[in-house]
Amino acid sequence: MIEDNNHLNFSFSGTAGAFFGIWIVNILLTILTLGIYTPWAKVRTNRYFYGHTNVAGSNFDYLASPITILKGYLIAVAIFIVYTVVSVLAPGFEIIFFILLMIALPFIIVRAMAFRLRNTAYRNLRFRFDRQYGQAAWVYLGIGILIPLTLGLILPYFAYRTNKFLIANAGYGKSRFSLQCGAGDFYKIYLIALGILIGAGIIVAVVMMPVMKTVMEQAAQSGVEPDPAAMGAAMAGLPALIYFLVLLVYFGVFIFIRTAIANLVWNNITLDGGHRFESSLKLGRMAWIIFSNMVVILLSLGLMIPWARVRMVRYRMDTLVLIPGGDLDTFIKAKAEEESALGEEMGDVFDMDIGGIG
Amino acid sequence: VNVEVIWYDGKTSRVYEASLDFSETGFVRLITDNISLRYAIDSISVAEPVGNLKPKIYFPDGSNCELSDLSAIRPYLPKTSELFEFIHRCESKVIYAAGVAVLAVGVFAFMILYAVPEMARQIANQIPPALEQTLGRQLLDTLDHLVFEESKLPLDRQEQLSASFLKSIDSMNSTVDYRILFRSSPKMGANALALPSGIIIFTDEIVELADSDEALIGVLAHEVGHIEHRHSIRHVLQDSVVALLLVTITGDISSISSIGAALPTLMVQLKFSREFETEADDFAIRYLQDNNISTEPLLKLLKSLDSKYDEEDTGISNYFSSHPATIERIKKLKRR
Repeated sequence: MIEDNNHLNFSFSGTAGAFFGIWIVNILLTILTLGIYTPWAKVRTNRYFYGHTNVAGSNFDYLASPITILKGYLIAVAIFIVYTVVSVLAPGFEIIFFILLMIALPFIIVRAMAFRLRNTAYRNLRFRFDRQYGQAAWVYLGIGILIPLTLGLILPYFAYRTNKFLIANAGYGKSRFSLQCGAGDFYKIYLIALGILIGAGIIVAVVMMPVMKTVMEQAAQSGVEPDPAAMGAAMAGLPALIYFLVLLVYFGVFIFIRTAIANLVWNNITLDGGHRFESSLKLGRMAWIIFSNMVVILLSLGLMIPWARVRMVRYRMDTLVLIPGGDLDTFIKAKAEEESALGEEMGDVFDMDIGGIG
Repeated sequence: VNVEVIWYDGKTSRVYEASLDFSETGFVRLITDNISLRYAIDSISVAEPVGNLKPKIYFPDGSNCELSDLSAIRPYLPKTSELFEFIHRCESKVIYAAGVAVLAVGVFAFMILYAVPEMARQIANQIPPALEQTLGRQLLDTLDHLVFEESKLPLDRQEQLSASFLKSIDSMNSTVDYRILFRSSPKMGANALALPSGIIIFTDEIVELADSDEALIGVLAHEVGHIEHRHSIRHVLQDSVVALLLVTITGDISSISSIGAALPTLMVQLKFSREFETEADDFAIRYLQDNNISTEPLLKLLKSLDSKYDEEDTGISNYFSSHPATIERIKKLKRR
């Protein structure tokens, strides 16, 4: 890839071997401590991945304190235990719990994003996320609830609004990110996905129907009573084959949507000062990596998970470019109150991974 | 002593080429082209090492620096935690990491094959009867809602079977208060189930499939075996813990590739299920033997239950089955 002052390639310098060591030690200590080590494991893993993600000669840094994460985990575990006990003793409570969880969801998403971004730094300058709870409630609950009501027609719009929400509230130092594309671009992606689904359906029908018909005709022409075992096998095999093809198509469409949205979003993110990004993930390569990772993880009984993970991240970074709009040395720190408004000890308890760009 | 570093001031994204100077005891001096800063050694901290990540030093004013090698200045720096130094050695040295891998696999196998089943057994024995009754009732409600219909067996047949079953159970010297129920279930077919707190359900289909009541007594003894060994509660406990264990491994891969790890989980859970079935079979065999009841009718019923019954079936598919292979179960019954 071209690397000049106008195109700064992201790169990932971690290796599967080195990450395997971190990963296996994390697992052993997590089991031996009955899960208490989990936050330390998470911090070490993130520090490794962030620290090996480079652009413009510098790397990222993950700064979260394991103790803060541990507090959050303990609260989450406590909630889960209360839920389990109450649902056994007072069935029917699950629904109330589910509703409460739904109401809390926007809050949780905002806290988690704020925690993650505030603990991400590049060149010792932290990212940040504005705590717009009202906006989160509107996007995730208000629009989210319309998805089933509109039979999914609003799904691309929902994808657009959630991505826009996550990006427009993010910042690096004092500078803000924004998303330039519109809902139409998301509709285009989902329309193509729908087209692929319909097209694949037609192809399956066109190809499979004559095959089935031939089998039937041959059976009829042969005159003799068809072997019931063979017929049974053919009858059982055909739906299995169709089922497999359908699964394959869904898998493909799912990866297409993810890849296309990742490219779309990255290509339309701007950072104050005219900085832009360019993402060129290829659908075929993504599908291959995801599929082969799955097979390798399966065959290695999980031992190749570090390899699979490094491979995926490396490809994503290899296809990401920063197009600076000016000097990268001039970002400045946000004022303290902008960076962390509410007390940290209240625990950014809900440290969880939010889907989105990623 | 002097080392070259990259310094970040913590206020801007500027990259400074700088050097650290340790010539003054108890202090470190950071020098760039036009800045010179002095920090007390006690006030700086060194990042815990992770993998092959470059070392980092944090200063009290929020600035930090990165350098390629710490070894030259290590004597001047505050000590990092011994524990994390050791953890880092385990991560980064191939021999150590290999040792940890072997240990992890061993611990994992021990947990799944021994510790988790044993813990589940202990906990299951501590469950208060009231809780067990609630669980049993709930489960029955759910099953009635999802898969069961009212039994179509004549009432006197139900009563006759119930009476004969309860009489058999009486001879087992159990402390559990058993309840026998009949349900029709086209969805489930011929089957019998044991729920917590001593509820045993026979489907109409299995009652009709059985040639004799003796075969059903065999089935009953199998289900009583499930209840006496508290299998349903142990099953739930074991499955959840194993799922939790496997999530610790795969938890942080947020990609669909992690589906690859769902299969081992399923295989372990099926292994538990097969073990419980074997345990219940053993219970039934012992009961039948002790009471001089032939195992032949149960054997025949098992054969007709398994429509795909195959004398040669000992292949890989056994690892994906919730029950032991019928051939294995029959062999066992025949041996007695």
